[in-house]
Amino acid sequence: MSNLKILKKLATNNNAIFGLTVIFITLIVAIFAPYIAPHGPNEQHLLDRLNPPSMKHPLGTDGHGRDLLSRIIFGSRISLMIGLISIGIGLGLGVPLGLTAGYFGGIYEEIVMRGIDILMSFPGILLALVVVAILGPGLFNVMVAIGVWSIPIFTRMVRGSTLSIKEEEFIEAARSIGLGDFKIILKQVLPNCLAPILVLSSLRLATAILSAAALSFLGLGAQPPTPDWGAMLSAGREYLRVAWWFSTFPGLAIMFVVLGFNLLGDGLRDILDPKMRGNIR
Amino acid sequence: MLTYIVRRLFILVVVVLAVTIIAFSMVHLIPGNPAQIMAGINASPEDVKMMSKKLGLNKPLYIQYIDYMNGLLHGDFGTSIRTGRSVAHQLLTRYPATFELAVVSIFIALSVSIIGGVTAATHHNTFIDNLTMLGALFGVSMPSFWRGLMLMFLFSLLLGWLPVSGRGDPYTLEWLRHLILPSVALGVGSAAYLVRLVRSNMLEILNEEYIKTARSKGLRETFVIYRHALKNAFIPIVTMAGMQFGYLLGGTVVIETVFAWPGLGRLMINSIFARDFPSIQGAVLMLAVSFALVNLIVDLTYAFLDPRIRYS
Repeated sequence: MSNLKILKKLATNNNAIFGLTVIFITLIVAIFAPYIAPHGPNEQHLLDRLNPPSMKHPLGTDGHGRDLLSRIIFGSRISLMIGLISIGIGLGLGVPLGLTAGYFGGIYEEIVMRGIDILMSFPGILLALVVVAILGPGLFNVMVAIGVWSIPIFTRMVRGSTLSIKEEEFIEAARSIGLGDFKIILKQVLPNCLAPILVLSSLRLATAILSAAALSFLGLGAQPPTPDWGAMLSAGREYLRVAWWFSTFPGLAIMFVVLGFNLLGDGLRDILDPKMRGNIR
Repeated sequence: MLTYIVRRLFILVVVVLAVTIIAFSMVHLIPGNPAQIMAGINASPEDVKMMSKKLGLNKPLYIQYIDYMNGLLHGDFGTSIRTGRSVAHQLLTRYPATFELAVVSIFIALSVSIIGGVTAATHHNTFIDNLTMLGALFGVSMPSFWRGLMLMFLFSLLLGWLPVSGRGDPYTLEWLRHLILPSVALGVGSAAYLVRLVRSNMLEILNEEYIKTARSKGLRETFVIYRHALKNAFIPIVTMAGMQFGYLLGGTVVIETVFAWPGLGRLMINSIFARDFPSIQGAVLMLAVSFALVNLIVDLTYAFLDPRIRYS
């Protein structure tokens, strides 16, 4: 499918359009956070502690008198960064492993795929917790943990695609004109795997943002005073009885962004890869 | 079937072995000196040395692994650094809490998804169908811990109908009341995944010839849907529900923290903060082995339900 055709189909897919709009809004908010946010993310107004939503603080304030709207706006930067970096790790290691395992086969494929099976024998969040337990709590370690969790998922999917692509005639043709294995992988196999990679990346981004928020909520990710949505929710838990807004709005923010990536992933899957109906988490 | 079971059991043994290797390796993968980290930053060199000896870190790696496996096979998971108690004892007292939470959650997930999925499929392209799918989309995108907090706010703090946290006395009415909110918070997330699957499978099956035959025989619609269609849609649902059960075991880690549920997940989180590696290793082993066992049961059920797998 040509790029123009994909764009045309994308423009008529409601899910994809809504998802893209949500992601675009989040991106704009994240980039222009200092200009949009009414206050600094860590600016304390001790006289305004736990204030409900008002004209001055549209989403209320937290236990330190910090403006929740401003913290949520700055928090979008952290959520997107965690999502992108962790998926980058998953892609950067998972895709080459899947491509080479599928293309070369043999003992190499056996070793790689059995390693992947071992990683897949852990429920995802548990694997992330194992990595955090080893490296210690912290934002960067959470990104690595979620990245490691994504590796087997990308490897398995890309290997599957590579196995079917390498049987195609154009690969035989590329070989017959003397193209080397790595050139064939990069120039022939990889471009043909891009559609499912794109779909999976979007859906995994949603999972990555959710999981990072969960780890931060547990106190294993971003540390105070970083305006992280998961950490904000965790702090708000203590004030749930007296300040409902403190936990409610960061949760809505997480749901909004995750919804965007899920919708985009669903839309892209309908357009690019209707066969890929597996449940991806 | 026997060959299939034997092959599947062999895979289970390999997976369990791999899990023990990962759990064992955790201590050795810690950046820096693991004995120093577990003894604490302010520990004296003597304390570090003692910790190293206590954990057997001064022995060659393969001997350490053999000792570790030997201990596991004799039910010895080591001693908790944080509490000084046997890890096996901690795991045994906490495992039932996690298991019951996951079981009740998957029960909720299956009930909600079957009712929702069948209703959506039988009302295809109507308002009900769209509403169910929208609900599923929100369910998938909503963080489980946030759902838990919102349920707690509404039903415990605002309405006062259910307890805020804890487990209550096990297997009493009070325990059941404590169980409702965490299992709903957990189960609804899985239901959101399963409802799409039930719907799409039912839609496919409702177009089959044998459904038309059943209808033309004059069978009642509910009979056609639940006895003829749903029965055949069940195989992929069982597989997916099994996978979801595995995820639920992982998901309990977060929900247990929200509701102060005294299960393995909370033990694990507390142990990560205390750098109590014997406890972390024990919890990881229990959860991963449970996950592997659930996968085995799912595969065997699948083979039992679908003769094509049994005889292949």
